[in-house]
Amino acid sequence: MMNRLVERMRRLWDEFWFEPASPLNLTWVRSLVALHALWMMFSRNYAAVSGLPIFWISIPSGLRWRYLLFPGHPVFEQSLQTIAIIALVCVALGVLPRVACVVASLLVYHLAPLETFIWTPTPFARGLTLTPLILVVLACAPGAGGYQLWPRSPASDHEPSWRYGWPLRLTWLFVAQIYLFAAFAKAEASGWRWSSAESIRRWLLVFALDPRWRFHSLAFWLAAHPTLCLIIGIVTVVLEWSVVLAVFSKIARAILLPVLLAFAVGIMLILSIHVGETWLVLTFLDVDRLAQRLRAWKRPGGASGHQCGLNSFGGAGRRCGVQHVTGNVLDESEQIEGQLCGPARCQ
Amino acid sequence: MTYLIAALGFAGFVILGLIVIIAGGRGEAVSRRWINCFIAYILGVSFLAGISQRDLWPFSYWRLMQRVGPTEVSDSAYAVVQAVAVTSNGDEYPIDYRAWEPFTYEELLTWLMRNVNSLSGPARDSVGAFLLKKTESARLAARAGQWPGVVTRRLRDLAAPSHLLLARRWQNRDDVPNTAFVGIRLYWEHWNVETRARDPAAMRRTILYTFPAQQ
Repeated sequence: MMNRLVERMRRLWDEFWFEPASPLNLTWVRSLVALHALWMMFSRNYAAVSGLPIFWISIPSGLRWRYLLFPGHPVFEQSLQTIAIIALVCVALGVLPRVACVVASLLVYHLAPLETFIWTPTPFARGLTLTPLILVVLACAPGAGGYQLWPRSPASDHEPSWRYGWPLRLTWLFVAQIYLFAAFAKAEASGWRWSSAESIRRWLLVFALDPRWRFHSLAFWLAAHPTLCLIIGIVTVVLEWSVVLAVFSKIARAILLPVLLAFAVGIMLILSIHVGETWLVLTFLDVDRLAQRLRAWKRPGGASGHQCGLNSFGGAGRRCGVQHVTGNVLDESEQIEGQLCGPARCQ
Repeated sequence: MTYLIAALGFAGFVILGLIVIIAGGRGEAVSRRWINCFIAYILGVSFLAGISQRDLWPFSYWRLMQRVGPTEVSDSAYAVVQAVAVTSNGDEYPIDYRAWEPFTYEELLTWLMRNVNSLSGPARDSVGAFLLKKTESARLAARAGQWPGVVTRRLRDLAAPSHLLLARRWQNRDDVPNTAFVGIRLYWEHWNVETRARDPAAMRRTILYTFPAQQ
């Protein structure tokens, strides 16, 4: 009985983590994470903080060793930041991506804390929290040769494989944890009172009344409507708890992607808060599927999407030939087209 | 102790990742065994950080606005500090958030809030001189119609925003005075949220820090 349960658990684990995935999606995630990190890198000068030792007074030595950060080495830190940028460019372009991922991860881990280091050891929500984690996980996946600049490898790398699946799932998990743990923190610190109309109204007013913040009017308007405040509170908590579904379901990812992007923009416009890591919800995008659709659309007569062969075969055909049928004989170009177009896509 | 656990957590993560990479060339069974260990390790550490609400960055606890909306803004509960630059005739100008780059404005304000009064006299003056110098060179840039921040100047509007989106106080030349700033003041703000919602002027300020001290 116990053995059967363990066996079943193991099978579920394997089915979940080792479900084959497209190398194109992995490549997309790799490029996206690298470009996002580059955006942060070019918008900050982490290294310069190292040259201002007066602000390091309150930093305990244990914390300095945690990130190997010590004041007074701005030139050295600047060199590391430059190497990090080069490594991230390599990741984005697919030049030795596995090595570049590990190098970039370690350097981002070292540099990112400099943004908040003078007062807090944890630079979460500043944009680079997930980067060191995702980059190491992505380094574990073999490079998809056809989708990287160098080294290039056989076209067989285009096939879905379990080797691309588990790094993608872990990436989605890291992104989902932003919302999951934020929901957990709210439940632990405040319970249901966090979602009350009164609580949301006060948060809105705190931001609306302070002239330092960039946006005020929407928060003011919402604060004047208790029902909307209550809806915001409830929807926020429900949404945060539900994002973890994205790790398990393709449909959930498709639905949550636009919702979470709208949520991030809404928070910026209402509360003037920007959580840089939330843009990584774009890792939910199924680029492989988009590429398939694009290819089908570009194909001659393909404006009708996957209406494979319907016109040419009088509705009876389930193959992808379109233009070149003479009688019942398919010419060569049609056959090639048919082979390229997998059966699942033709049905 | 938390620092050590956090550092070991990340070190273990990287080492296991490297083992997975190496094991990738030793057959599917070996590879999968190490991948399973790696996944289990990640689940363990990340959920330890999240559930225990302990900082194990980059395994983060993601505490985002977890408290109930505050009723009071004060120096104890929910704190707000305003920074102003002072001219020779005593006029005060709110400081643009880009002026203190390479520091992120709100991070430096938080540091000042927590530490500035516990510094020795010379250290406090040294901090004040740094802030004044940065503010003054940003003023000169703004007066010349340039972007006041030395870091975000590269990408300007396309630069990644910091965690808090602050208003751009110095958008035009006339937003800053044509005479030099001679001092910096930091104020605590104290206000009741509901009272100020009815009357925006219902606010009290107390000085947190002044540079130069004799101002």
